[in-house]
Amino acid sequence: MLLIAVALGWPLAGVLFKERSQPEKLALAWLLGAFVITWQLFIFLFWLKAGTFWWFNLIFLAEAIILWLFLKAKINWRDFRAASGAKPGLLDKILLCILALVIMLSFVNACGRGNIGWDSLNIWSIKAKQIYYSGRVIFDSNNPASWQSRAYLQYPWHGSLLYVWGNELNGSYSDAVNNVINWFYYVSIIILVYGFLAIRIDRRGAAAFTLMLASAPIFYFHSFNSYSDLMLGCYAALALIFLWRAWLGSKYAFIGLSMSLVAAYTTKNEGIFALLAASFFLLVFLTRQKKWRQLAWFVGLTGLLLAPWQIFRMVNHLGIANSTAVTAWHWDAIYQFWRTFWLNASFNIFAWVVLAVLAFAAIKIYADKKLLVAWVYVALLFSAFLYVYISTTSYQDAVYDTTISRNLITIFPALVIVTALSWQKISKK
Amino acid sequence: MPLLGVLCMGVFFLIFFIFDDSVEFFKKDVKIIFLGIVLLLWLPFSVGFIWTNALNAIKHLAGGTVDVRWQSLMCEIDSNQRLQGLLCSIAATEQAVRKEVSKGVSYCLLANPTAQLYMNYEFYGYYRQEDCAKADYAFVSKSDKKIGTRADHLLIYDSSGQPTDIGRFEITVVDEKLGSFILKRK
Repeated sequence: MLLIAVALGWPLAGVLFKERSQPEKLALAWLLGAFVITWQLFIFLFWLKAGTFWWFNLIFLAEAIILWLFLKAKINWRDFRAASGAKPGLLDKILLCILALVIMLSFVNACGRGNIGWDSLNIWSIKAKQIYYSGRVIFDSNNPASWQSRAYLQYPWHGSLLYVWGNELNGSYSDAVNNVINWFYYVSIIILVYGFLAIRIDRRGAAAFTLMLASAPIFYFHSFNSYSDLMLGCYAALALIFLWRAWLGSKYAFIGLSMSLVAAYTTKNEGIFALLAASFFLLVFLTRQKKWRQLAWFVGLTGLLLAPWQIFRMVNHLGIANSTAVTAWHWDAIYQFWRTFWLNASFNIFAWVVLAVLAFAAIKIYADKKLLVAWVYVALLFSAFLYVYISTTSYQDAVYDTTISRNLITIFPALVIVTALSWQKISKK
Repeated sequence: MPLLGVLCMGVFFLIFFIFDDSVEFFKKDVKIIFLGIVLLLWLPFSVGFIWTNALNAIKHLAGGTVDVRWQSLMCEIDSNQRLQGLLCSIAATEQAVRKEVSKGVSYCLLANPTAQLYMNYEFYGYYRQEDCAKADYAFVSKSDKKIGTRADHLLIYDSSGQPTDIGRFEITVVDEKLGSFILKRK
């Protein structure tokens, strides 16, 4: 599974991350390859109503070969050292060893658990199970195994389709496959965040902040549970990385941005916040630079990638929200956000680190336009969730504290990136 | 944790503002001091959490007693306490059932149309109506309209309303919280 997804994503990663190290390309190849596969699976299963799986893999492999030839993809091993240009010190090595241990322990968990989280059981895994055991998507709504029979019809299918495909390749249904897929996402975002930070701050800071990302209790917990929040968090952070690269003048960053944003939107509905926020910044940037061709490509590609799921959503009258607007504002939700992020231990003390970094580096952040935009991107995601909880029936979820911490996971990797970049600016001068 | 967070900020505040600029070490390495304090506060809690999780998983992989207190609903499952395991939670139930099925104990797990979660068993392959006639145990939801009783016999109604008698059972455990009960074949 990993091989097919990476083979498909590798040529794209080669173009989009041309100067980056091989581990980063591998991580990006998985994230993009997984998206390309589920995007097609959705068309095969929901639009073409196809019923077998083996020939899907032949198509994916054929596409991989064509992409390798067309984009002249190569494997040229370069390690992080070559990419960051510095030699790791003893402390860096210790931090990286702890990081490796955390990743390995997460893998043990992924292999040793069932799908025991509520949403995992009730939404993401069971949808996959229905398709797996039925051998196709059942459209007869009277059938208890039809796609309409489950709750949360309006939820996108990226995670579940990835689980179906992974289990098909596994040969039998196993919860561990679903968990390990999430673990792949976990490892990918760790590599990408470390790689991104290592050349922009320093190895020690990059290792420390990546370790905080990897070992924040709730983020770690999701690394071996088949929810979709961690996947969304990966794509939201990847969008930030591509936005940053677009700002730096990377020619094809808009392609990566478009793919990661649509991937976010087809992973969870909350991905629309990332889609709107990052698209807005890119459009402003490209308009100011008068890069009309890139702008047209970005809009066209994003529209094309969005079409299968968005049209399906419209045809089947699927809304996007879980909740409805309420007449009164529920300001108590703000306290719940405060409690979840700052007073609970879900993110260890990271929320306090954010406050401290902001307090000590605010002026320098304001002076750095790229960093400021990155902070605004994260703040917009945060505000969007806050707005939903204040103004809709979702405030009940806030009061009972069932969803906020999971929502914050979707922001967390991006927040770690901007906090680490801002930490670099702390000084007395 | 919150207190540690405040402590973290407070200590750094002291270092940042109280020490004089003339102290070269603090001027130069203020970022590293900040990071050091954060990591010192960070690691004990996270490492503890991660280790506890990993220990559970290792135990599970090794096949011994499983502590599945990964979520608040979970409770201790011992492989010999099959019914106790069934009461812990849906997820714990699944783990218990898997163990029992692997040991040859058969279950009749009946879907509850009002609680979609029970459908899960159907797709795990534990629930097959025809197997219920010879199952050792039946795990039934109270509100399931497909289930009925006649004296101590358990009945399953098909879609046309025809009952199938799957034999004599006695109730062993009732779980009010889950709205389900477990029957043992007489």
